[in-house]
Amino acid sequence: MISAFGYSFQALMPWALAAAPLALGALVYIYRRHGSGRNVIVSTLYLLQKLPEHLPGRKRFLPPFEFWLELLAFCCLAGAAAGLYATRTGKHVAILIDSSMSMEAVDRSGLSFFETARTAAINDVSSAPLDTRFSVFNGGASLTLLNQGGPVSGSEGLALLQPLQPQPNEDRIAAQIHLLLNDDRYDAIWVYTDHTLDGELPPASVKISSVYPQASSADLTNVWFSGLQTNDEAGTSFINATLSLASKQAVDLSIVLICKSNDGNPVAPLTKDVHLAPRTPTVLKLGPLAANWSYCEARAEITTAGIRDDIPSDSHAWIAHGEQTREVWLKGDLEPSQLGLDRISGVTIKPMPRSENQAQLEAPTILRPVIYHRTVPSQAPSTPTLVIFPPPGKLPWGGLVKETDSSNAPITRWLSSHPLLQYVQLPLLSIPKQRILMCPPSSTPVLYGATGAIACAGELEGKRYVIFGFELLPFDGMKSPTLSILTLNTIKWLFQSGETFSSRVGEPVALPIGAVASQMVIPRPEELEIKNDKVIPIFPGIIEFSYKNSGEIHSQHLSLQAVNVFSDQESDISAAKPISIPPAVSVTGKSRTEASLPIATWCAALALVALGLELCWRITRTFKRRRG
Amino acid sequence: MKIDATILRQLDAFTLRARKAVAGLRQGSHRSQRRGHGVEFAEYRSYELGDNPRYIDWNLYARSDKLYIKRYLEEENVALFIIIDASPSMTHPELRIKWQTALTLAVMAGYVALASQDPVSIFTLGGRSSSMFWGGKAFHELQRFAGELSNALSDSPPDIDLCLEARRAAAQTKFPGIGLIISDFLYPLEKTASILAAFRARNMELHAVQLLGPMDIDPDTGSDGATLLCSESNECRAVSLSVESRSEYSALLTNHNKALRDHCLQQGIKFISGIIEDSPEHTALTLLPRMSLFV
Repeated sequence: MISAFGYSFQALMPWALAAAPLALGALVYIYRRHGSGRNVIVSTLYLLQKLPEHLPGRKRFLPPFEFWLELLAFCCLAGAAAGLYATRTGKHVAILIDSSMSMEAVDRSGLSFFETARTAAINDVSSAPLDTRFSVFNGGASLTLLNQGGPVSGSEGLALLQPLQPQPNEDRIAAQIHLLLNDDRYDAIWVYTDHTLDGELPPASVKISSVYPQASSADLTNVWFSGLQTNDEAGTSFINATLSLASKQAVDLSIVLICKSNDGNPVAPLTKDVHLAPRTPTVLKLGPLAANWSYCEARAEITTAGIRDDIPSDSHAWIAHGEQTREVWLKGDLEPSQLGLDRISGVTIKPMPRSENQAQLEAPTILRPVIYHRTVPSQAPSTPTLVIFPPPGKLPWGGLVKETDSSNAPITRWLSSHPLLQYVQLPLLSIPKQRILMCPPSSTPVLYGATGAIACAGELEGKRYVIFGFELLPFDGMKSPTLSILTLNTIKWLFQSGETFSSRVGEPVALPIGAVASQMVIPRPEELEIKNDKVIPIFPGIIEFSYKNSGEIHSQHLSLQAVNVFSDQESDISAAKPISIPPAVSVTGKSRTEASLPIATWCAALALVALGLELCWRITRTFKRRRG
Repeated sequence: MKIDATILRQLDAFTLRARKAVAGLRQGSHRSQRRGHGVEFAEYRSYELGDNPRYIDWNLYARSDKLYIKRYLEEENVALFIIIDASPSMTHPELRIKWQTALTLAVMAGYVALASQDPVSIFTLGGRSSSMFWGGKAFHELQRFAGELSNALSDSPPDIDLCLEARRAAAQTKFPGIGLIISDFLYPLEKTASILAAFRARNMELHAVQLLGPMDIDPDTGSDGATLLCSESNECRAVSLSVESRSEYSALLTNHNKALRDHCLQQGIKFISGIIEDSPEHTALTLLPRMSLFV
């Protein structure tokens, strides 16, 4: 094995390379003998006998052009027979840096979690061997590869890390690590996040660097809005703001509500001071609002001396007047009212409209989340999806629902850290009938029955989905508290941000049904991403939909949509949040080897070229000789 | 041996031309030594008893008061004798291009002669087809004979005496005509002179055509030296074929051909030298106009 130029050169049959020097010796012998042993027929020696005699032994060997072509062909054939190949030396490392909102938090050192994570990543890259190659991923709302042109060197990887900044969205680190683990191209995965590891140790190739300051976590303070909704009392509108605090002590807050009227003019701001205790969400009533209010921005500022808000992004929230509730479709044989789904606040669950072309409705362009009751979608949906008690068979995300049903089997294990199981008392849960699931590769088993998983929660291309292998409905409220809490957690995790009607940053917003609309974002128009007629906001604010009539804007705005990032998961920085890494599933069963350079094939091709050139050379020379 | 029809159409533009008056067998289109009843006036002769009074020149009688008859030049045909060198240097299988070119040239020349009703005879000197002979007036028979000759290739040199073969061939000619000798003439000048003299003695108008192959011009074997095998004598010799040696050979060949040309000029023999560069038909077509034998 020889290493050079970042490659390791090896041969399958090294002894075949001995043919090259043998070919050299044989060619030299043949060409030295060429002409002297072979008789060339001539018409007569009458004139030729007067020429001097030829003594080959005394002549210097000057090989002709075809000698070199034949030697090249033989050497290339020896290389091809030896099966030469080259593989890259050095590891291929995937770097995943968490850029969710929680990484904005500033610790006692004055550095944000993200800056600490970036510094740790830079140190690790700098100390890696020189032949290590890197693929850098931004772990935001979706996993984004920053070096699209292929693996980069350490210095290029460091350059890619410099301009990164945290974004106001939730992280999906566990699912993203799972994706990278299932990709055979990477020899190691380095993760920089504020999560800590829970459960089994990850594979040896995964290194998780947690930047959460365990020692000084008590010094972290964050106040955030976890919900904002309107409330009408006797014809007057108020706003109910749900505030939460992560801190070691109670703080004083000043809540400011800044509104705009329908004609775009500002309305006098409303201010309210409040004393907020940690860990307990508090609902504040703000108002009354002006009758012609259009949209409002709520800001929370800590007024306690010496305490700062470590994550400023979640201290703002937006609400628009008359915005639509989150609409979710139900596909199944029963109506939402029969399943108790009309009693859940924050979402409006309607039956999926019937259409002659039902498959078209299930196409990925649909923007409504869907609940599938005792049925499954035909392909992986592009919106958040809940599947309840599916029939046996394959699942569109991969995975399987097994044939056999278990009756009254206990729940043996569960993933307690998952948001679905928050406040759920599982030992009290008894499930009459359950179907064992083979969870799709992009999901995590959340609940286990006697013989396998019975609930899976996952995310595919940024769209969450949950599959329950048992009957979760009907929603009975407090009559079945454990199941009901599980149902509410699931709906909140899938379809809502807290108890608000607003859309979430990073999720597509459905356009109002009807005329063509043009969209603008307040306050930062440049941060609206439009993709395939869907609006995807990447920062909180207000989306303004305008309608056109005969080419003219009918009215300045007919509907508004608020976009917020309400995420207790990201905002609650009082303690590090654990993540568990599911085992990697190798889908194709291939071993983790990187493609090698097929030098043997190149040698064979070069040998063919050399032989072809030599043949042309000989034909040309023979033709010239015949022409005289 | 078949000649392509397009080439035959090109040959129709050529006509056999004798440089001097020769006696023929029949009436033809060539000037004859004999006085007869042709078109061209030759001389006056005094009237003798028995002469045909039709030929008396009455104008001359009126002026001279003596009887004279007009005599005209007779136009007769002229025989074309094609002598082909069939020694191993022409008929060895490795050198077949020379033999095929010689046969093609002979067939083309025979076609032109037969087209003007002139008889054609072909002699071969030496080789496996030793002293083969054909004489006739039909072109298809000529082609058939040439086809038989084209299979006369042999790699075993027979023990022949070209000069003797030439004398035997010359002895078979019954009347003088035009002799076309096709050979590579790569032998000593004395031998060439002896062969040419055999046919000159029969009062023939001689034309010599030398055919040289690519190896005769430049013996390039691709290496600085080689062992050469003579097709005539089967003798082997290791010869240096470096650039300098090949230049020396080129000078030798030039001197040899110059001596040959000078001898032919002295003897009144038309000599041309041709190099076989591509197909036999193309080489023969380029040689025919250069020969003063055809116009």
